[in-house]
Amino acid sequence: MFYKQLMMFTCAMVMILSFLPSAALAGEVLTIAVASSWYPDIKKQAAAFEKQHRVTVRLVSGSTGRLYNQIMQGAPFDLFVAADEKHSEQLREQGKANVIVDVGEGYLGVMSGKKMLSDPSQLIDSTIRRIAIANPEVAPFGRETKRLLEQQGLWHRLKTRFIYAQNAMQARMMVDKGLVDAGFVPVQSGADAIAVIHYRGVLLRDKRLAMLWLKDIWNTQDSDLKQSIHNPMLQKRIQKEPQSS
Amino acid sequence: MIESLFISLQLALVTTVILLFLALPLAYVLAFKTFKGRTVLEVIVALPLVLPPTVLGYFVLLMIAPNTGLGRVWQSVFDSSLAFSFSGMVIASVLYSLPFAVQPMQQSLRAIPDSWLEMARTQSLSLKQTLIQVMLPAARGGVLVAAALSFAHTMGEFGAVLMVGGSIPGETKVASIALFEFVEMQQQSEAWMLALILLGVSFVMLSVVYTLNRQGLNPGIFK
Repeated sequence: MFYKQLMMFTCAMVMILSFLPSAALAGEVLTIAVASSWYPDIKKQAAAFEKQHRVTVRLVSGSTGRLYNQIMQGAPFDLFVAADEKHSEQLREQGKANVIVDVGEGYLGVMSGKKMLSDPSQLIDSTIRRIAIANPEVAPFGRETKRLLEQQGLWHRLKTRFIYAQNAMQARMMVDKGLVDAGFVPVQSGADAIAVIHYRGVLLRDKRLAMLWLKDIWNTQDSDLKQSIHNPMLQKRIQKEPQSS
Repeated sequence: MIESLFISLQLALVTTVILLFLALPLAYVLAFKTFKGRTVLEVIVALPLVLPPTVLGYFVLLMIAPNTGLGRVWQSVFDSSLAFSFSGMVIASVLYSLPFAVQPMQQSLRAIPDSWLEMARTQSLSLKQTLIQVMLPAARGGVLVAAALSFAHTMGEFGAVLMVGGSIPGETKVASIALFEFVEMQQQSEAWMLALILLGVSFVMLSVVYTLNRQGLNPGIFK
């Protein structure tokens, strides 16, 4: 009898509690789709932006390809931060966007355990049995990896060892947790990167707040941009390789 | 994290309430009526039990996309997209948990002794009166199990709501999706806490179900 009453009380509490206002939405709301690889950085910038402008910023993370699909299916995003040029241009062609801005850079690197490898050919080593890669069909990091490996004639040799992650961050997680022996993942510095990823901010809705945010992110990342260009190794790589598309 | 829990709770509650109203007529028909195509109806109701949630999510998304059918109607009435909204998720959840609501009710209705139903007939009770005075009290075990299972099942939804809702914080990012993303982003402590909370909630809900089961889905003595 007591047990039953306890159950009913718990259920009643659950019902009451779940309809408390779940989040006090401060002022205007901005919904931004962000490529997973840049999500942690954008989160920090968004928190500062929220405080400064007293608004609410909702971030949705995922692979660039999946977010693009969702936008085409009608997802209510104000902005889209894509990790490549291809999807932002496709949105422009589809008439979904007219303002596209370069907002920053990321780096693709090869990591094995905690070490960063300077060259994918080092993966030929037979002790490396499982290699994480972001799904090339939806993630720019994966697509760029595939392009580079095919260029070096390594794709077919390494393909059998790939574990495909849904997005770049998931691949990174697999490497960090030791679930795989190595992986092609987003890395912090350009020092040993094998490729540069260009992030593009796409304005999807004509909202003043959205424009403000774009300007804000461009300013925040400006210093990083300046730094990377002064990195001589990266400079050489950028000059050698054709623009990714 | 807390926000996603609230979304999950709200989704589960709204879905359960809607399902209780939707499932009762279906359960009644399946418990008492024979007609051509009865098996088809039973199969359709049971489909979400075995259908991959992504298949369900796919079809719901097609149905509510802004350029077709239901989505277009919604857009013109409410001037907002049904896809990637809480309401869109509710539609998917209702379909996803439908068999969990219908089947317990159906079973407990069928378990009502024929003699009781005959007594109701001899007393010339109308259908409505029979329902309210005889059937529902007798089948209350099944109704409660239906509610508890729909609730718990909706709390655990992942694939279907991800496709239909899109994981928008504060609107469609439910706890199960939040957990998945915490793991992806290597937010260990949040992932751990959320997993424990969800485990606890599931435990409590199932305790409710099994305690009620002890009293039987069958009609018990009226207290």
